[in-house]
Amino acid sequence: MKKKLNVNSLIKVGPLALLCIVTGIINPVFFSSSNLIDLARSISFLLIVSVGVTYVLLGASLDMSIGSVMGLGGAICGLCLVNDWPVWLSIIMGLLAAAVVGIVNAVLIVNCQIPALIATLGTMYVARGIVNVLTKGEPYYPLPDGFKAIGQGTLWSIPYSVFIALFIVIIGHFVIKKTPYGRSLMAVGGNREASRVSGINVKKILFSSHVLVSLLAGFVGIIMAARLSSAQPNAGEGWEMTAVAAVIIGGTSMYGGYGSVIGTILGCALMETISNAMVLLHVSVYWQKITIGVIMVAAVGMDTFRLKKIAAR
Amino acid sequence: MAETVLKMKHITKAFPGVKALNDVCLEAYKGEILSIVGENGAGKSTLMKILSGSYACDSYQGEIEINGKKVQFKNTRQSEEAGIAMIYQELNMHLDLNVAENLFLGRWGQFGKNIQWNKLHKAAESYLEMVQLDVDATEILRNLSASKQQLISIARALSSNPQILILDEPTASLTETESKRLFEIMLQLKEKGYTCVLISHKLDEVFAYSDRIVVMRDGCVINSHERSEFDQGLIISEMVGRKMDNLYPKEEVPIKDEIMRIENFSVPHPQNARKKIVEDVSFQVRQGEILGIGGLVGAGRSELVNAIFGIIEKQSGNIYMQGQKVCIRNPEEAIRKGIALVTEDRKVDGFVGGMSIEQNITLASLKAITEYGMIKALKEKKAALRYFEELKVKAPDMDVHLNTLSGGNQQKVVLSKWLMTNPKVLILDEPTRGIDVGTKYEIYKIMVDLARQGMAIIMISSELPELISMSDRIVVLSGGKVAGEIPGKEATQEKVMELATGMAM
Repeated sequence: MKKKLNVNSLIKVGPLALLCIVTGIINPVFFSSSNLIDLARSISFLLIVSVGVTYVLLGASLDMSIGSVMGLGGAICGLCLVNDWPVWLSIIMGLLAAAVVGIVNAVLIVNCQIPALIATLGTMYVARGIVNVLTKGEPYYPLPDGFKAIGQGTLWSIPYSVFIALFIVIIGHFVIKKTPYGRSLMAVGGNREASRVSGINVKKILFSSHVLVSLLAGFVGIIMAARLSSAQPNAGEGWEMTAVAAVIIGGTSMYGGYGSVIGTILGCALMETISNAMVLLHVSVYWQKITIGVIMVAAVGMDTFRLKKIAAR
Repeated sequence: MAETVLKMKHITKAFPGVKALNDVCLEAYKGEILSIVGENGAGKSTLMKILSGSYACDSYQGEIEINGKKVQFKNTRQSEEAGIAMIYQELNMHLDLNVAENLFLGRWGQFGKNIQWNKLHKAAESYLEMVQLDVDATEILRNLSASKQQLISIARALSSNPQILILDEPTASLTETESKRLFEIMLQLKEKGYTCVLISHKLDEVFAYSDRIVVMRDGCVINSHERSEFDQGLIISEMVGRKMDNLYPKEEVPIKDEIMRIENFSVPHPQNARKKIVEDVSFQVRQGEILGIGGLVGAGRSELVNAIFGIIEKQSGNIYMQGQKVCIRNPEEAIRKGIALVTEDRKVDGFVGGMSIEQNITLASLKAITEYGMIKALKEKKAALRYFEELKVKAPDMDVHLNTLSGGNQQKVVLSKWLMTNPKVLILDEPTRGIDVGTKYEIYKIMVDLARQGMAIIMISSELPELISMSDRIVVLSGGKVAGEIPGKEATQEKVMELATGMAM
């Protein structure tokens, strides 16, 4: 059992290490401290929201609205800030807006039993639409310095967001591994009916996972606004695919009940390193989407293959 | 001796870590019903998967001959072309296509590029006639009963013009009468020269209809018996590898106070809200008692217990635990009130396949192993280990995933899960379906032990010998209503069937 685990994590770390080395040899800028810090920051952004995506996928659900929720969280927070609300209250308002989308998602999926893909594609459009209506397509700025510090400040020259991401990862990992909630979530993802019959409140578990992912997405949206010194109307576009791909590459199953937050760290690191490397290697940005698409399908393919192998036993 | 149709020679198949088949030789003759019996994991299904081409010819050693000619199957299609038709345990047909379309699924091409439906329907009718099924070829499959669907899967197998029919647990979801009809059809097919290979856990069927029985154990063929020399005791002891004098270890234990009473239970029909699938059912069960619930499939037995447990909604009715009226709206509340339910289809809602044995055992009692909001690993291991050992689950350790266990061991884990919740009333819905003889015996033993400890047990069973031998009292349902109650000692198969079918037999 132990041995197998090591081999598995090696398989995931291998390509990442190889990518770093190759990129570093071709363009030594890769290993410069400023690039590594940039990379760490972008990994931390993706990681925060991906922890939430891990929870949703573990419960055998899906959320495609996270990119829009990031935009909405940032926009609401920015709107409050440009109207001179205090920073703390603006952040809470941004999170609240994100939570509302999460609750709507949860009600649609859990209570109305609309397929998660369709429900969240719907809220993805609605949330982005609200952002556009509010901002009229223009970013909110200038933002106060006290707020910008959240996204731009550093400790020992490491961005705050890296510490925040680490904190969320540790909590996220701990909850999955050690608490009845985490165990129940894994069970619900593995077999929803059996979990219900075993006395687990399936609706509560799924509901909370959807609210959680939206909160984390809204939070990243806010940090991103702080980082960019402005709340952009198109912030977070396409992140749903990147995050889902990262989580699946990290070994969490599309079909629920299998995976880990630790794996998600690797998945996020790989995804962000790829896009960083593509910039450094002067690959056209237009190729990035193609790469993400291919990686995503390949990762899901491997996941499906794994399940088939289990079923064949 | 009739001519040999099939010869499997020295078949050896290994999976990582286990030899599933070890030098197996098997022959089948024209026009016979050959039964292969053995406990789960004996290698029956593996052998049949080799024969049907599910395992490609390069994944095992050995040879297969059909009509004296050596054959090699790379896939199921080649096996089908060689005259072998497999009828699987689970129906694998399209419920929303009609009967004729299902019969020729994948072979519609033989009716022209633009399918000539008239021809297809006519051809379908001729095969339906062979299985004596009086349904319209354009009927949608979903609208037909389980037994009719099963017959259609046989008709489909026949339509590929086979010499050998393999039936894997064909009666698993059929009632006694429906099974009887299926076997009558098998006897007729045999007369027409088909060879039927039957795999079944229901030994009474095997003894009643087989011409020959081959016993397998641990991947080897142990013995072959001709019909004239069938000896039930000998065959069972060959299957389990030890002598078994009694299939049902029922013991008398003192029956004490009433523990649960159900009054006027009604449950709406899942497909038709105006109809009731359970209507005005009342019964009570006492400490130490094993209460059997009999009836045909569709009589509302599972729906009744599912509604008691809060899995499906009831229309009306009350539950009293030890005289106190209780309200149960979901399984969580049922568990808290001291009820446990081993559901009918463990794969669907009995266990989480991707989780370990340990995690499955503790799944319904997470609160008991949690301290300060955290699951205590040691406490969990200790609690699970107790049942793992008590129920003798066969697995290398408790980290093994449920997916990889045999049906009998999965059932033991499900049972462990419910015992850990400390129930006062244990409801078992078809507890031994698809489980081998040895494990069945162990499960009966556990039931008796639990009854002796003062638990009340309710058991739904379609297997009449089991129902009659294990129950202290039998309530028979028919059409959703209580048709009658029989004390265990007076119960006979005829009496139960009489009540279940609502007619004198």
